[in-house]
Amino acid sequence: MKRSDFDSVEAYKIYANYIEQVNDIISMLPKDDVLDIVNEIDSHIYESFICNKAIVSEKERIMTVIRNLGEPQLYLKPVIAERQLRQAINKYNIWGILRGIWATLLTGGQYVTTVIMYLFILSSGFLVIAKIFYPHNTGLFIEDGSFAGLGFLSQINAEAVELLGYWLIPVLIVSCAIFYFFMTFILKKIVRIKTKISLKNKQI
Amino acid sequence: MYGKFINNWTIQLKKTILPLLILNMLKQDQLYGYLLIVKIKECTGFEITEGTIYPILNRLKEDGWLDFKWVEQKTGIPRKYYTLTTDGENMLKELNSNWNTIIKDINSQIEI
Repeated sequence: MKRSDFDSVEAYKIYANYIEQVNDIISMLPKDDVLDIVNEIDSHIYESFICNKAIVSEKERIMTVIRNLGEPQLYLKPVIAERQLRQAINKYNIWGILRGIWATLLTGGQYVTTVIMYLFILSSGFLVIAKIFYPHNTGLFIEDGSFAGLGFLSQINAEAVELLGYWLIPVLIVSCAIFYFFMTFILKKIVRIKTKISLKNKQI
Repeated sequence: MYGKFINNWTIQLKKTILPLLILNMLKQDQLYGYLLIVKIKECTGFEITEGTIYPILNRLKEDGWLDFKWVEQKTGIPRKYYTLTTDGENMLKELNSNWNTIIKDINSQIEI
């Protein structure tokens, strides 16, 4: 849309901010893809803006249009991941393929982080209990000078030696605490970024 | 008590059938994103975040079921019209047939 499509400077600024946000999010894609995505979103905003003329205030109208469209970083993430992956596969670009897979994984980053955190804490809790009831089968095992396993082993070779003894319990509790704070920190970071973007949307 | 479960289940179901709905709408006519959303809302009453339609369209296009073309307008901004490809039409026939079978099977259980 052009400046001339708006009577209100404020409404135009809101629109321009949104498009700038879209441009920032997809900047890593090839120019053709960027142009295609921006044009499609621009077209959507224009059609929606025209169809919502019942809302007289242009500022209110553009805000409604943008609210209905949603946060670009949320709905564009799968599009970016797929286009990056497609481009990388077409060019046999291993690094690009990895970036595409990573982008796909990040879409569910918050959930993945939470699952990893709880899985680690739960398994550590299990090991603490197992150490109490099965002290010989639980711990940090080495065999012939190399790492043989950490956790609960149902069958242990005669050569295997358990290193930590009952120190395993405080070690697990401390590492759980460190891990919990670290993962919570990451989660908070993710939530903060999302909130920041969301607030930015509400402001515009 | 069970309202939350039903609500979540309904949202998931709608998300799942959205591609089927889009493909069937595009079988009838070529449409651009915004019009597609308007039609979906009109026909089904689905309250969807409008942006969510674009990843679906992108995926269907990447899979080869859809094609698109930009059409200039006398006034306003060009529209990106989506159409079903021949592969898309053939796939949709099978998809619709599967859908009908599933609905029939489920309904036969519900009636019991």
